Amino acid sequence: MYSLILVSLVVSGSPSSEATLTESRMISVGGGLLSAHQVDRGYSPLIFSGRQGSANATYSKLRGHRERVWALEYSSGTLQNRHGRNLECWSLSWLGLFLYQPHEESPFSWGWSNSNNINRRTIDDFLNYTGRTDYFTSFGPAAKYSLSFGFGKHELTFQVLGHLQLLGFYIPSSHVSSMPRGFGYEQNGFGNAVLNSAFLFHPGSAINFGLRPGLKLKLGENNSVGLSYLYDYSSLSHVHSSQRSRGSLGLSLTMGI
Amino acid sequence: MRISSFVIPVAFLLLGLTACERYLLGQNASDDATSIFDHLWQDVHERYSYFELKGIDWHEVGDRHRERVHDGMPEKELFSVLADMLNELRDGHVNLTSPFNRSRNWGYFQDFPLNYNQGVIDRHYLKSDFWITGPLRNQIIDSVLYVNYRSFMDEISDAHLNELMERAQGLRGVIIDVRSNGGGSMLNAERLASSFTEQSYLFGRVRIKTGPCESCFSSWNDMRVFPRNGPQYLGKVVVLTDRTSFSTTTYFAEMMRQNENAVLVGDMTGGGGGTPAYGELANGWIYRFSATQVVSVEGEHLELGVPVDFDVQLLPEDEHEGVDTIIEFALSLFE
Repeated sequence: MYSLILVSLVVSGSPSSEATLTESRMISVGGGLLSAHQVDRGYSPLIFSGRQGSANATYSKLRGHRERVWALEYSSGTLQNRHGRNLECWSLSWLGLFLYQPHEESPFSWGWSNSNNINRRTIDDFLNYTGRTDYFTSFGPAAKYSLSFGFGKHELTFQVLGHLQLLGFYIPSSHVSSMPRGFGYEQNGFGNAVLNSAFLFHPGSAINFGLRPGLKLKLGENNSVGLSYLYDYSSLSHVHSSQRSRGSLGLSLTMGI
Repeated sequence: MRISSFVIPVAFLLLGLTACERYLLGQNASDDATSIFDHLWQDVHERYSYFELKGIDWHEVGDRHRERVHDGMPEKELFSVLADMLNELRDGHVNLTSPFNRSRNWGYFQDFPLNYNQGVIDRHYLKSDFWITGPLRNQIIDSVLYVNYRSFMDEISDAHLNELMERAQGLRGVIIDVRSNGGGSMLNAERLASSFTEQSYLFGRVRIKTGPCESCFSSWNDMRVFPRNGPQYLGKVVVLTDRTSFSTTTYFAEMMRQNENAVLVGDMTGGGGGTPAYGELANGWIYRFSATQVVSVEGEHLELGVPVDFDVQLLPEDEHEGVDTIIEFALSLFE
């Protein structure tokens, strides 16, 4: 899966410069290629792997020592297991990062994050209950390391951003490969469907984390182009657990607004 | 800052992360014979929906067949053991599919008389001038519209139904022949049944497995037939079924059984009331089994078949003379 928020990291402005303490807003768009691996034991005990395409958009706001980043990412593609069976997947994620830089010279920022993700897949050769969907929204700590340096006449910034999701709720696929339980055979309105389908997201039942190193090259006053690698892992336990692991390599273009 | 002091650690970081992509998911499941057997047994144990109805002790079944499994056994021998185990479910919706064979349980019709002869129907009832309205072959016989539908896999469109309903207007009745129709899409069954009612009505209830215990099911949910928008036929309808009327065809038979204008003639349907769920084994074989239950309004499981209003068998002497006993009986109901 390439992308996940890939660029989102790159997107955020450099906190190590003087501009860190001023207010700035930036948007970034990007895309890339994703290497994805997935297991869904509601279908098969085998690992499905493959390449996917992704696109993303990020908005970031830096004010004084505080930084906010919102990143939207979509990816889709076909994965395959060792017997050649296909799994068609798409996912949509929305990540919010709320970071604080303790003092101006520090390359580190700390804070918290909120991750929302909906994942849908369908498998070849299964005629019923072929689609499975899950969703989670969760909260946890986040951190960023940012270092700016010169290379010839160019100004580069290296960033690593990480987040770990610890608490929230998730809606797994139902016991029989199908839509989440409340959205299938027990429909009593959207609210009840969510309540009937939701489980507590906590270590031991579910986890999600991401790590995103990136390098960006400054182009003019507020623009930059970036190269990032985004890694993301999630695991949702239920009667049949599902796990996803994906790393994406992508390019992004960031503009000040 | 020297660029090398930056590039080298970053390169290692990226390399390390790339290696993690798959590592965190662990290894593929083992494809040795005992692991495959246990995986199949466990999944059926947790998701199959008719253990209680059929009085099957799945633990006992598993213990008995597990003794025949050992790692390194030939794959065709393993297939045979797994198929034997699955066949104890006595369910036509249970299959194991490998590149070299597909196990099945056809006892629901092979243990009963065959009440259908396509040659007799083609030569003596449809004849040469029948209409082919999409998948619905039809002919007017003695002012009754005879409709022969071979598979609910074949899509029925609104245009097909409009044509069929218009052709039926003014006739004494309609015969829908779904003998030897092994099922298909529920949507086609609903569309066809919707042509014969002005009002929505309940025809059954469904529930699905929601957990691994035998009694872990959702609540019962209504299954209804809704009238279609467009031409309809509200006169008398006779539906012909036999033991090969299976799965969606069983649902259709029950839909029509609950229609006050319709009667069922022939032999009871073959059942197949559970919607099958699928799974894959570590060696790539696919299996399926029933994961839902459907009952009639009266609470009878459709898995056991839908009874007919008039039990009529195809007599060999009639068949020899080119006569379909069941169609003839159906025609007599319009007199």
